[in-house]
This record gives sequence, structure tokens and C-alpha cells, in this order.
Amino acid sequence: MRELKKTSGIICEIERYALNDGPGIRTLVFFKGCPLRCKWCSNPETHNFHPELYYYTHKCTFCGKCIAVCPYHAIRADYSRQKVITDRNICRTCGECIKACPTGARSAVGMEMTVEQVMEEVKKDIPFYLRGGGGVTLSGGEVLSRFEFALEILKKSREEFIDTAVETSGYAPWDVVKEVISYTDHVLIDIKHMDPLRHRELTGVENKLILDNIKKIDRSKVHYIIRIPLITGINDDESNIKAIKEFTNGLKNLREVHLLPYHTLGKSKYEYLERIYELGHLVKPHKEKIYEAAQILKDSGLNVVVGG
Amino acid sequence: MNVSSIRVKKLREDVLSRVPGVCIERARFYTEVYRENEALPVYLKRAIALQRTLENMSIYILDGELIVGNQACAPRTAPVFPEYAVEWIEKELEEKGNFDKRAGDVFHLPEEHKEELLEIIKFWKGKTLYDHCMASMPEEVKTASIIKAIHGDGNMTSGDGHIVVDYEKVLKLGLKGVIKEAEEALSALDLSENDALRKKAFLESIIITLRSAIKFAQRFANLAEDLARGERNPVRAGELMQIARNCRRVPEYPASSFYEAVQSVWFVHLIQQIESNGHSVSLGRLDKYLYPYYEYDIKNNVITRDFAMELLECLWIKLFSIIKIRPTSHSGYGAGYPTYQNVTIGGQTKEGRDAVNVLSYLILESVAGTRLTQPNLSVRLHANTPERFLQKCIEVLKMGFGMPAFKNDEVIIPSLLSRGVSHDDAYNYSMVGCIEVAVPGKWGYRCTGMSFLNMIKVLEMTVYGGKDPRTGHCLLHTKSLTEVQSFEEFWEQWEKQMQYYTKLSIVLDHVADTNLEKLVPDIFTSALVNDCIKRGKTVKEGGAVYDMVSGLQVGIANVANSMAAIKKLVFEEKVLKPEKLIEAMKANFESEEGIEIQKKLLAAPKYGNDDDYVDELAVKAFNTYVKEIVKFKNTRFGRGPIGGIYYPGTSAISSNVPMGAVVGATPDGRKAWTPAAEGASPTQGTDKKGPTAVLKSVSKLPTILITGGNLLNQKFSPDLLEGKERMERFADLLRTFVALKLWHIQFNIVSSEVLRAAQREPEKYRDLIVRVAGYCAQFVTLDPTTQEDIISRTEQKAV
Repeated sequence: MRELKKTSGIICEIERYALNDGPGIRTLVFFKGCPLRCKWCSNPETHNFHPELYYYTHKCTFCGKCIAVCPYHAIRADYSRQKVITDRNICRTCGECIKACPTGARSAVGMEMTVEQVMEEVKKDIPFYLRGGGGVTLSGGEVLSRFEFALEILKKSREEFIDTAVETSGYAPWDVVKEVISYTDHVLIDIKHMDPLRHRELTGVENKLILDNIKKIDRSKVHYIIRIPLITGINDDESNIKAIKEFTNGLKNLREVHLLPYHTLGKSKYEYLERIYELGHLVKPHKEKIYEAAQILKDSGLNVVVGG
Repeated sequence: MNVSSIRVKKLREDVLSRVPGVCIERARFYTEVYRENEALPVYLKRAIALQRTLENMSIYILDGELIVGNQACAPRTAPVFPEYAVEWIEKELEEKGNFDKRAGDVFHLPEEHKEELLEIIKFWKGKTLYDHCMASMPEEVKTASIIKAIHGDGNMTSGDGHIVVDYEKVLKLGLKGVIKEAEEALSALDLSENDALRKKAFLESIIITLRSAIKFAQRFANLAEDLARGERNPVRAGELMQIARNCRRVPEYPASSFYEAVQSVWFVHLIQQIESNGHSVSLGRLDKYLYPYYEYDIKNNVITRDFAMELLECLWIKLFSIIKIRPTSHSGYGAGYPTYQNVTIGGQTKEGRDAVNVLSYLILESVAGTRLTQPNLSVRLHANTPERFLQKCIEVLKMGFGMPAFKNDEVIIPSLLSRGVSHDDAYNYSMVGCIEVAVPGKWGYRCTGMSFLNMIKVLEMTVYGGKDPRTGHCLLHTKSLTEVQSFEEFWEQWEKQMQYYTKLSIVLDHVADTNLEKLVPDIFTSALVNDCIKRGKTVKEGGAVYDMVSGLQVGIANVANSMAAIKKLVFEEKVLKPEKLIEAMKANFESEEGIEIQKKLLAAPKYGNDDDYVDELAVKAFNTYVKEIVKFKNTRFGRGPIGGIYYPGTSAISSNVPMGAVVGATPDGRKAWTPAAEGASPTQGTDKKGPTAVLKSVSKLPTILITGGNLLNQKFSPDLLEGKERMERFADLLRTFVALKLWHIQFNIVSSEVLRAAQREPEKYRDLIVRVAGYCAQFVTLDPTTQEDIISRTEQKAV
């Protein structure tokens, strides 16, 4: 794949009237590509850095037109299911099958956008940002993996007096984090698990870099919020929450923690990508469990928001 | 929020349990009077007919009622208004035996009255408003109506309605004071002067109707006293005596208490609905003109806040008891028994200060408590609407019955000022019907016009060179899509068609106006609109201070989307041959090639996504219409009122359904006979970027010029309003609505039951927006699993 200039990046989607990712009414810019592979991830389309194909089996009539047009012969018929299968290793997301499909069963996820194009979308809701302190939130995927592109958007937003927020796993060198947060009004950063080995098992990377970055962010005085995805039976146990509490007790400037209970809304996206959702069978965390976790964190004087 | 008492609960249940009926008493009295007084001037004929009705019709006081006065022999029973039209009554009775076999808006006529009604119809045949309209309608207009490029049936079969009379004046002077005004005007007449005899008849008829209105109230006083005497429950007997005292005083005398004021307003409102069958008779700024009475009574311990609530709730139940029967042919244009009795609250004083008071809150709460389809509650928002009031509105909205609707002072007031309305009057505007605005007590009927212009039909015909593919008629030939060389040339053809049909829609308006004026003048209503008495003219003759009306357009979004698709695919990208498009449209996109073409058309830019490509076309299309309609004058021009003009408006009620039902497949990818887009809202299901994008798109329209009102409907899932933070965001959205200078917005907050229904019939719920994770999506486009998840989420929240 060709190198992207710092003035453009692959964007999955730009969502307006987002209510959960920073103050006020926000526009959410989803970056594509992430170095982590959290097993519960509800946005699997943001894993890879390149555009991909969505395949909606419920719309497919098995007409075979996509098979005929694919220049890479990446699509084959699955007669038993009366559906098609795309070899994702061969597919280049050239878009021919999308054009050929008569029922809209195929679409591309992720498109290259320039900073200007992103800004054009972001600026559209300026009238809505003005009340309630809304603005733009960069999310993903991992924003810091495309930090040069992110920086450009953040700088341009600042020029337009647009409030900026970044949602991140925190998995990037401190130099990168430092530069990005200097153009950011609100940082939303995750703690997924306190145990380094378990963290590695669940996300593919260790948590040391992340935790170190959080400590440094705390000292940088930027407004930040820690978010904890609560995954049933994975990280919602008392010992993990208590370990998080112990860690956050050492943070001077932390005021707010968001608990994000696991949901199954990402399930169908795995199907569209023809991937397997390892944790797709999980049930949502029990209300009591969420309450317990919230209680533990509240005890250290933190403002705990469920859902966030 | 619940109703305040068991009494109200019972009254509410009672009125909801009633099967809508038909009452022939009014028809009987009107027919008698018309028969007996053929030679009398029409004013007097109608005054005496109203008098006979008010003095003889059945009246009742239901157990527990605090506000009294009925429209017909039972609640939810529609009087018959034979002078407007009878053909449809006869036809429906002959074909279906009764009105209860209709697909929607069912009514029951007692069998024993059928014969008398048919007898009454015989008298009216050939004499009705409808007969006169048809006789005076130019052939061209008839053909255009058959094509359904224009539609004006509503006002050839019923009266005007759409008015807010001067309630404030009635409360201050009593009808006695108004009678005095009429008497003075009468004695000042010099009968040797030109037109004086006509004025004399008019003023005399006013005195007759106002006196009969007083008598009508007295009849209720007598009834209440009779009932009190037979009442065993001393509490109820006391209530009945109070009712009797109220009815002895109002509406004859000025109201001396809040209770009397509410009763007086109800009588005046009610009598208008017995005089004419026009709908959208509205109450104006109730929180403004009732407040002095409330304030005084509270201060002097005359009433409690709870009792005031109860009275308001009783008033809403009364409003709901009013009902109109319309021809089946017109019911689709306003489905669901609507009567559009608007109540306006909030807004500003004439000094530009916020006008919200305690009563604004009580009205909001009581409407939420009774949860009926009436009144149609409107809140005037402005830059400084108090936060607490806004939050209260959102709380009510959350209950999910679509109220209140929001209007925007920041665009409506400047729009009115630009039309020549005085500063004080512009700040005092109130809503009429749905989204129309008028100055209470000073404005003629119909701040919204009576003929609909089917923009999407006009577009369809333009594609075919002016020929209507459904009926084969061709009134104006222009170049078809296959004959034009460029998009600009195609646009020019459409403009020619628009100019032609806009003009015909005005002719249709004039047909109705001329005959309404001549045949069915509203005397009682005119008595309470300034300056009818002074000028000696009914509203329709130019008696009102202001008289401006709007045309009604249906399908602006479809036009914009169709134009965008044609521009992009046919002329710019040249990926679609005009012949192929027409072929696909004729086949309703059902052939294999048609499916492909429809897919391309649907993928073209769509209005409602904040996309300038198509939004600019919507603006351009609208401006074409604006430029055209302001050329015309209404029938009151130059006869006294300020204005006398037309301007645009998109308050097209539910006409998008029947209007769409006559239009074949269109270049926006819309299938044949399916509904057109509604008001200025995006085409159902094509707005995919959430509410902020919709608001931005709509805000690009020249709203300040659309003085007839611009309608925007939005559907939200309840969890968009769940929790304090989201409610605050929603308030931000509304505040931005104000800042963007949009005219009107209303929300449907839908429940999980609705979501279930949407799963069963996705076609009907294409515009249903739900929150998925951090964002919103069209519910029906989601896969079944996600839909299930969202439904379960909603239900969890409801626990």
C-alpha cells in the first residue's frame, strides 16, 4: 500500500450529533487502524489501516455479479449458504463489486480523506458546538498511530476555535502523546486491565507504556478522563477495579472516570467483515456489577459516569 | 405527568371511549331557516340560522364537568354543515350506507336520522358552496385538479377556520361591549350612502349572533341550576351552581375571575365551530391573556394552583370533544380526525422580554397530563427562553406524544415585520393550526392558503414534456427530458411548468374565496376580528387589519433530490441516458435495468444531509416558487387590510400521502404512488447524517420569506433524551434551531412498541432515527440483531 501523506488519512466515518465523547454536541471522526486488538472491540472495522469491504449477507441475493467483475478473483461462491465469500488477503477494495452489486450488499468502509475534507465536515456543525461547549472528537482506531494527520486536524480546529477532544488507547511514544495533547482540550484515555500479562493477552500489547503515559498526562494539566470498558468476566472483577483505583489514587488531576459497559452492537460488523467475534457470546454486564465498580471508584472521590 | 384529579381522569376516559358520531340538529335548523327566509340578505340568513341552532340544539352537562358547552348532541359528534357541500354525504351514504365503513376517520350516523339527512340534502343540492365553486371553476383548473397538480377540495367543502379571534377583547369587554360597538356603528350609518344597506344587514346580523351566543350561555346556566336542584351530592350541587353563575356572566360580561375567563374563552371558541366547519380555529396566546385573571385569583385566594390546573385540563377535554367530518376524498390530506386547535405559549412581550409565566408551565403540564391530540400545543422559542422552561418542554416531549412543537421568534418576527406587520403586532403573533402565524384578533382567515401545489407532480410532468402520465392530460407542453440539451434547459422547462401551475393554484384559491365570501360569511367570527365592525365588512370581504395568505407546496425535497439526480447522472457524469431514466420510471424501477437505475438515483445527493450540491438546488427551486407566488394578490387586496398578498408556506399537513399517491416513479428514486416528502422535511429515510445535518439543510432555505411557515418533522428514540446530560444536549440542539433561524420543529419520540412496528413494516418507518452507540442511525436500515438490541435497550430504560 502506498504511503499516506501527513495531510491525509483513512477515515471510517464522521458522525455528527455525537453525545458521549466529550462535552456538548460533537462531531466524531473515526480514524482507521489500531495497533491493539482488544478482544471485545466493538469497532472491528477500525483495526486495519487500509479500506476494507463490508458484506451484508442479509441483502445478498446470490446473483454472482460481484464474482464476475472482481479483477483479483477474490470472490467465490458458497453454494451451501447461497452467499459469496471474499478472500480478504487478495481483495484490494477496488470497489468494482460494490458498483456491480444490484442490492447494495457490498460497501467500502474507510476512505482516504485530506485534512481539508475532514475539516469541511467538522466545520459544518459549528453552530451546534457554540452552546454546551461541543466540538470535534478524534476517535478510532488509534488516533496516535496517525498522529501527524491528527495534529493537522487539531491545529486547524484550534484555528477555527473549535473545542478538541481525542479518544485514545494511549499506546504511543510519549513524544507523540505530548505533542498531540498540546492541541487537545479533552483527552479520553482507556484503562483496560491493570495486569500487564492479562493486558497483553486481551489486547495484544502490554500496559506499561499506557500507564506511564497516563501519569505524564496527569502532570501535563490537560483536562482528561479515564475510561474503563467493563467486559463481563474479563476485567470487571473486584481485584482489577481495585487495582485501577490504586493507580488512579496516585493521579493528582484526575476528576472523572467513565465506565463503558460491554455491548453487542459491534457483533454485526464482524459479520460484515467476515471475521469471527471471539467475545460475541458475552452477555452485557449485570447492573449490580456496574454499580459495584462505580462504588469502588467513587470512594476515592472520583466522579463516575456510566456510559459516558 | 398525570391529570390532577379523578374527575378529570373520568372525563378524559369518557371522551376517549366515545365512537365519533354525526349529529344532524344543526343541519335541521340551518335548512329550516334557509327555507323560510330565502329573500333575506345572506348575512342575516346565517345569523338567524346560528341563532336558531344555539337556542334550540341539545345541550348537556356531563357529570363532573367544570367547563360546559357542547358542539353537537354528544361529545366527539360532528354536526353537519350542508350549506358547504352535500354530494359527498349522499354519495358516501348511498355507497356505504353510513360513515363507519371508511378505511380511516370513521363516524357513525344513527340509522333513525338517515332519512331526515337525505331529505335535508335534497334541499341543498345545487345550492351549496361546492356546487357554486364547480360552476364557476375554469376548465383548465378542473383538469389541473384531476391531474392533482393542484388540490383545493378542502375549501370548497368547508369553511375557512384558521383564525384566532380577539379573545382578549371578549374577556375585557364581554360580548355586551362588542354588541355596543356594533350598535354604535349601526346608528352612525347614513342609509342613503352607497353600500350602507349591506353594512346595515351585516351589523344587524352581528348583533343577532352575539345575543344568541349570550342566550346559549344562559341555557347552560338554566340547565346547571336544574341539575343542581336534583343533585344529591352537595359538593357537585355547589359546583353546578358555580357553573350557573359563570354562564350567567360570561361571555356577556367581562370575566371577573380565572374560572369565568376559561369558560368565556371556551364559549367563544365553541360557537365559531358551530358557525363554520373550517378547522384550525385556534386559541392564540392563552398564557398571555389568561394570566392577569390567574394572577389576581391566586393573590386573592380565589383559586388554588391545582384548581387552575383542573380547569385547564377540562378545557383540553372540551377541545378534544370537537370533531369535524370531512369527505373521504379530503380525509387523507389531514388524517386522524385533526382539528388543529392551536394553543401558543411562551414567546416575548412587545418590549422584547421573555413572556413565560406560571401559566405557561401550567398549560404545559396540563397538556402533558391529559395527553390528548388537542390542543395542538406550540411553544414560541427565542434567544432568551429560560432554561428551566426549555427543560420542562423537553420533559413533556419525552413523553412521546409529539408535543409541544417549537416555533422560532427569531425568524417569525422579522418575517412578519418584512410583510408590513407593526412592531407590537409582530411580537404578539400566535400560531394558527399547525405552523402558520397570525396576529390574534387582527388577521383574516387562512394565513395558510387553501390550494395545494403538488411540486412533485409538476416535476414528473416536466420530465414527460408537460404530459401527465397517469391521466394523459397535457395542459402546457414544454420540452421533455429527452429534448433538452442541458440541465439549465431542463430547469427552465420546470420553471415554466411551475409558473403555470402556481397561477392555476391561485385561480383555484380565488374560486373558493369568491364563493365563500358570497355564500357562507361567518358573522360571529367576523364580529370578533378587528376591524370588521368598523369597516362593516366580514373577514372575507376585507374586514381584517391584516390579510395575507400562503400557498401550500408539497414535495420540495423530492424536487431537489430529483433535480440533483438528473443534474449529476444525466448531464454531468452522463452515466444515465434520459431515455433510460424515463423507461425505468415508467416501469417503476422494477425491471432488472430499472433496479440498477434506481440504485444510482438513490445514491445521488439527497437534501437533508447538509450537502450543498443538492441543498442549493432545493433553495433554487424554492426561490423559483417564491418569486412566482408573490406576484399574486388575494381577493381582499385593496379592500382594507394590510397585505392582501400571497407568500409561500410548507404547512401541507398529511397531504404528502395523497399527493404522492397520484405520482409515478420519480428521478429521486422514489417508487410510484408512494408518499411525497412532508413539509420542508427531507424525503423519508434519505437523511443519514443525523439531526444537525437536517437542521443545517433546512436552514439554507429562504425561511424568512416563507411567512406561511416551514414544517420540519423529526423522529427520535427516547434514549436520545435519557438522562440529564442528553437532555442538555437536546436543549443545545433546540437553541441552535433558534440560532439557525428555522421556523418550526417537532419531534416524535418513539417507544419500543413503535420500534417493533417498524420491524414489521419497515417501509412506513424509514425516517425513524435511533441511537446506536454514540451516534444515530435509521432504525430500519439496521440489521435485525442490532434492531433487537436497541429494542431491548429501550425496554430496559423504560423499567
